[in-house]
Amino acid sequence: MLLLALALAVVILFVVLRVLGNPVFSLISVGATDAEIAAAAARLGVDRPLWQQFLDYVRQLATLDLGQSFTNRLPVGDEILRRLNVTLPLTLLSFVLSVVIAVPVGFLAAWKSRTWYGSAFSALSQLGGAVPVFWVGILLVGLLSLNWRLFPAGGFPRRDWEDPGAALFALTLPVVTIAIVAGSDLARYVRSATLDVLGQQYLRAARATGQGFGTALRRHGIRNAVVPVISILAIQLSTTFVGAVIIERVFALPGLGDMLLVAIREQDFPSVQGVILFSTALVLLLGFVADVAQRLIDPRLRGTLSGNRRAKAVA
Amino acid sequence: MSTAAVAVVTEPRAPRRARRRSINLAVGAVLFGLIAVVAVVSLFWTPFSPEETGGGRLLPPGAEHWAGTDRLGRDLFSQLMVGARLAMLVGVGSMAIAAVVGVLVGLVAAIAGPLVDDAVSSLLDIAIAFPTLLLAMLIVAWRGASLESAILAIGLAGSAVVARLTRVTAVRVLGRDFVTAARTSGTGVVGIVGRHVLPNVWPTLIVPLALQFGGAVIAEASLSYLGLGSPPPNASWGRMLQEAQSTVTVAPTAALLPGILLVMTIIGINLLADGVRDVADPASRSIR
Amino acid sequence: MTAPLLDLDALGIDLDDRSLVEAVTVSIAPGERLGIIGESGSGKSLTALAALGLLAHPLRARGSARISTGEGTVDAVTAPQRRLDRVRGAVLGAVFQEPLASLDPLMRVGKQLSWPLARHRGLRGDALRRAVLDALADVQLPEPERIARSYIHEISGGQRQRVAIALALAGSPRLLIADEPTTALDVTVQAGVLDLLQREVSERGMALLFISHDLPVVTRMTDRVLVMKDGRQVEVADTATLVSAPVDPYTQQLVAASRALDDLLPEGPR
Repeated sequence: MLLLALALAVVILFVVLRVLGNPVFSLISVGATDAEIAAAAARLGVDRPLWQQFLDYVRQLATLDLGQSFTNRLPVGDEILRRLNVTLPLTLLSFVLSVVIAVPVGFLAAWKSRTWYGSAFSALSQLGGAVPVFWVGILLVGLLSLNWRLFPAGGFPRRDWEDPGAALFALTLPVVTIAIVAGSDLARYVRSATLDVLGQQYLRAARATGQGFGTALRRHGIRNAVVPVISILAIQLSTTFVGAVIIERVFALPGLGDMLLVAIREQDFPSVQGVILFSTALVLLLGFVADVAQRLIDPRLRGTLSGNRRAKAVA
Repeated sequence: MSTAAVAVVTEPRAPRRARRRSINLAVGAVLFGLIAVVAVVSLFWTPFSPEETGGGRLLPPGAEHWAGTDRLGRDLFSQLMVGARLAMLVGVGSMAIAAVVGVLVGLVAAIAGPLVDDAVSSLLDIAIAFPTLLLAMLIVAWRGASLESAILAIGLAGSAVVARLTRVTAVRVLGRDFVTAARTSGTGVVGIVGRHVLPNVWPTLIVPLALQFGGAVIAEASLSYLGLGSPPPNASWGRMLQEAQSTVTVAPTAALLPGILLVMTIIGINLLADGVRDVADPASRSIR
Repeated sequence: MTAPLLDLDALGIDLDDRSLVEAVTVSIAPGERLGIIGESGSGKSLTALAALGLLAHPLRARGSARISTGEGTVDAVTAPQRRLDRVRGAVLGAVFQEPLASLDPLMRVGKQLSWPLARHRGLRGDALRRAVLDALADVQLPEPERIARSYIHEISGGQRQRVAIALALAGSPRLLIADEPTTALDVTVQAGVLDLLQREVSERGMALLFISHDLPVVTRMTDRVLVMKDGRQVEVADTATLVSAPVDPYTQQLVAASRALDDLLPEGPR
């Protein structure tokens, strides 16, 4: 299933980028002669029949060769790896922090849902889905970097991770920004999963055998609550990834998002394609992992491969 | 001593919850309504022309320029109003595209055989998991930055969820006995779809489409912020924020107001959607 | 004279400003079998939950629900949860209506059963494993090893309820509370589960609080019956008397309705 999805994505990307957009014209100036156009086309390989281009494309991908950038002729794959140095830590740290924020907030919002602070938490987490992450970034930069001079306003140390301290410092504000927004959104799901579990009768029945509240919750509640949250977590990771892409603009970080934006503007199709393919593969992989994890925890899901969609819908 | 009314054990907080729900609905309606009204008004009147760079640069809010001016001297209030119009356009446009495309795809999946259904469902699963913004960026890369591209991209991205919902409901309805009866009596597929499937499908779509509205507004703002939205003459709150970023310490209003309006719009439509859901299906415990 | 195992005195249950249950006063002596009958919404399940001290948060109990443990009495209305934890399972056991909802869907049956067994009997390792299998055999489940390894969605409804009964009996309670234990089961399976309950109750000398909306079932399982309507108790009497000569008009309606449906109403418990 995963492979099928990936294959489909590859085909779609090819169609969109090569067939529907003609990359030749970005490389030549207006008024070029036919010979010049032909030469440019030959250089890019777009003069050969479509199916041949597709085969080349697939062959390239099989060897993980993502081609060369149109603008600077450097291998796309290498550039992606280089940019990951920034985007990967940014995404992962934001994800972890967002979970750290979301779980207690969501849990408390559910458990103390009738108190004023429980409702306050719920209201706050509603904001999370409504606030644009780049806005929070701008405001935080304005306040903490420019006004109070606590953090750098942007940029990433030239020496990359050779100085981990400086690198982390540069990433602090971006990470916090993404974590706040993604975390409060996640808190909503944690809250509803917790509410769901707290209302479940197996907790009550367990307590009737003499188990304390905490014990019953720990033994039965947590695992049951985790199941729906896992797929949300996978989506959350994708969300923090996208958040990173946007935030890189706010904080002028040389990551994958920056690469994508520049590539789009310069119509550097191999680069655009490379980044999108990478992101797609990442998202699909995450979904797959989440699926596997859910099946491991919940024995009811282990039956069929795709969960027998039609039967499920009618039941 | 009063003989108590019949005790309802399933909805213990009925009175309090009902009150909270109607507050939600009211607040949502007010917030969203405000933005909608501003959007409509902007069609006929704005204090200044949003492109006119006459006023002084980066002026704070004052008597003449109610929200101040941006770094090029344009009136912020007018820009905000036009931004509201754009947000509404984007919301409605992408909602429409998501609805039409989604319902069509969902219906096809439900009606065509299990093979097509499985293929489409797998595609939908991927589409739903794939981040909207990336998809939008891809489409913008292909078609160039413009309002239409943004609306199209966001609408398409949102159609996946609609398609899945449509498919589930359609499959369920088609499996019912009265449909089999209708088919044996010779009613064509189109008739069945029109008379039985669609009326069951569209109520389930109200809330997701409303949520799609909010998502679209944020997605467009993000695209504009990144420079991939509709180009300069069209004011977008996202683009305003991008322009305000460099001068945030000097002119904080320019950076605050567009964001606040964005939040208002989204919360407004979310609360409205919640309120509508509670009214339409009070049995569903609102998990907000 | 022995103290009653469970003594409800003017028990009331409120939700915010509304009273859901009012002035329930009845007691159960050791070994006695009391039934509570009423329609849905009559407050019978809430009463049982109050006796267990398991009312969900916005609901509040008042009055008293005194449980007589070996070393004194505990009032379920006022006692702290920690204290009640020790009483539940060891003195009071409970079986609920929906076995699919009352058991953890993610945990194997044997594992779920092992927790209370380990706690109440202090067993570990092999002894614990054997106790689990014995408990499953005791509730007449065939192939205890297979059941112990299964998840609850892999066994039938009747088997699930038997597991729930085994769970309730793990701590050898003195009083078993059964809240609509067979309502969710197929008719053909109900008789078997009811027989099991009767057997366990008499073999262990337990008291029984049996709650149902089904009069024939209640009369079969109990010596005394309490009738509830709209949160209030309407009549309390020996089962035989209640069925043959109901006093309250509501009880009369109930009995008449049951008779109309089922003319095999016994004259008393078997």
